[in-house]
Amino acid sequence: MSEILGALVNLDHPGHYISWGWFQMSYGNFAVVVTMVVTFLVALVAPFPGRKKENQS
Amino acid sequence: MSRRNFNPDRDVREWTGAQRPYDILKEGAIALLVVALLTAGLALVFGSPDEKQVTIQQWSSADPVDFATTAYSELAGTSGLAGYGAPYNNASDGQFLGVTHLYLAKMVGVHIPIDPAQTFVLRPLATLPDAATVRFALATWKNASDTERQNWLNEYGKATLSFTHGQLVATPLSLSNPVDVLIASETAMARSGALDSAMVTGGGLYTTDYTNVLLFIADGGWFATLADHQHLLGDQWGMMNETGSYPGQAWLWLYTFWYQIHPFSTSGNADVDAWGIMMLLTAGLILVPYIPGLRSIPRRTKLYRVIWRDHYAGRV
Amino acid sequence: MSTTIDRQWTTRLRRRLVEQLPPDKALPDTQPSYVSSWIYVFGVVSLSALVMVILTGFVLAIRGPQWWHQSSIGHYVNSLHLWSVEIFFFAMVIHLWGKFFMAAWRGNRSLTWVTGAVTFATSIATAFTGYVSQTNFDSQWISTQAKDGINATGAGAFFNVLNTGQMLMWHIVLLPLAAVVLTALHVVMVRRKGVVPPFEEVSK
Repeated sequence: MSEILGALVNLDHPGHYISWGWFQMSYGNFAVVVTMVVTFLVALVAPFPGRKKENQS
Repeated sequence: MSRRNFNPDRDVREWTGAQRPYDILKEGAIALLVVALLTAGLALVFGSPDEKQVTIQQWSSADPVDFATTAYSELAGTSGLAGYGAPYNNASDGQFLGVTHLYLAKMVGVHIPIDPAQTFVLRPLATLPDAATVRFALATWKNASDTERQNWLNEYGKATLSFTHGQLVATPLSLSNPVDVLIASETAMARSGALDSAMVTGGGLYTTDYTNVLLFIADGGWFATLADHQHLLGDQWGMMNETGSYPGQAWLWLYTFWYQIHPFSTSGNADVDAWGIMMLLTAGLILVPYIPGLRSIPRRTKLYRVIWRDHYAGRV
Repeated sequence: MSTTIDRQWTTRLRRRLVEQLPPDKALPDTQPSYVSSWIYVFGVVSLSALVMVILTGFVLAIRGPQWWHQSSIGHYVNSLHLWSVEIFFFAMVIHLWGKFFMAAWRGNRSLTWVTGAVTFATSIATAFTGYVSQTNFDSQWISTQAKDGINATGAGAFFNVLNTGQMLMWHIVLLPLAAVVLTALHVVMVRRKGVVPPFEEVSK
């Protein structure tokens, strides 16, 4: 059971960091933030299903 | 609404147009299922961090000199905590809030009183059983005048500490200096693991309060070295970082940000200033609907035209 | 007779509830046609994530705060708890952005925005108390660092982040209760007022 429940991707190793002057961010956080912004943008522009079908209502 | 003029950033004519079928429960059920699967998947793929706790025993074994130096600073009253101020003691005024010069912590007062010498050195040592030399040193310390104590502390402070053959050695030192016995015994006690329990429980059995032991560990240099390796220090944006490569509390980015820039990065009042700014900004976020200018941003940026493009195009 | 019934507390409360939130608004079967964007799903995703956070928290509570260090199943439940929190904040922030750009406070909906923003702040505090209740290196480091900020405000005198028992109680009782009550208020307000209509524009 423990093998099944163990993480498939091991993140328990020293992190990597983006450094830009005084700005620093871990890859982990950066991935979350980028995914968040991308998801927001996709949610804005992606076509919403069923918008034409309900014309008659 | 009739009394005041229509303000497009505040008012709206309620919708009387077309409706379409909407199954709110089905939507909720699908969302819950998707989130549950996503959670299960992410947990399976990435797991979660659990960097083991550190103990005083580990600290004193890994870096006995740092430990002994810290214990000495607690006894001498020169540690970070000894000079902290409220809520632990009256040793300093603490931080004041930006331009207001309000010493908030000091105003609230000392509510978690801690005497570092007693809490971290003298009281734990007194719990050692059958230790005649320690008991004698404690009695000598207790009966000495402030001048005598200060002389011993000064002499010990100038000595060089080393750890050889399982023993803490301070040289040069006069034979009659009880500080030597106290610190060496505390180091031995720490390395045996006895200090952890003595300091955690403070004499009792049950506890859920680890204030003393955490403050003591945090006063040493070893703990910060570990955090430095994990990139968790304040000047490393550490508050939003996590051990290993996991994402951390990314939502603290703005709070963390203030610590990185001038004047806060070099200010002794950075903590209270960062908190003050964040409280102000949080209030701003909460009150967006009432703040002219801020509440006009959505109408002026016109991002809403993308969101409601089907509506504006007459497709719905 | 009818006046007696009319004056009863229970009757008055029921009438008021039905008046404020009639069944067809509480559980609607239609929605305005302008609700046609993926941005609308992040509210219900936040809510679903909150349900997952609470359920996984319940499972962690069954065997107590040390269980997850010792059992691989416990560790997995902890992972579920962590990732549902990540999804919760993720969805909540996108929800906040979306609602901001819709100016969703228009038409007497200000309090809906206010309760949402307060829920966000409460959630940050709840997550923080969770981080310091982990009983591992993380909680040791975070609590000893965070104490300085909280002490500097004066709140540290009563809200002692180094007191693990106190933090755990805040994390599993007080703050979740506040977050859930706030969320419930928020959702009721959304249902009562409905989603905000688009800005009116002169049609081309």
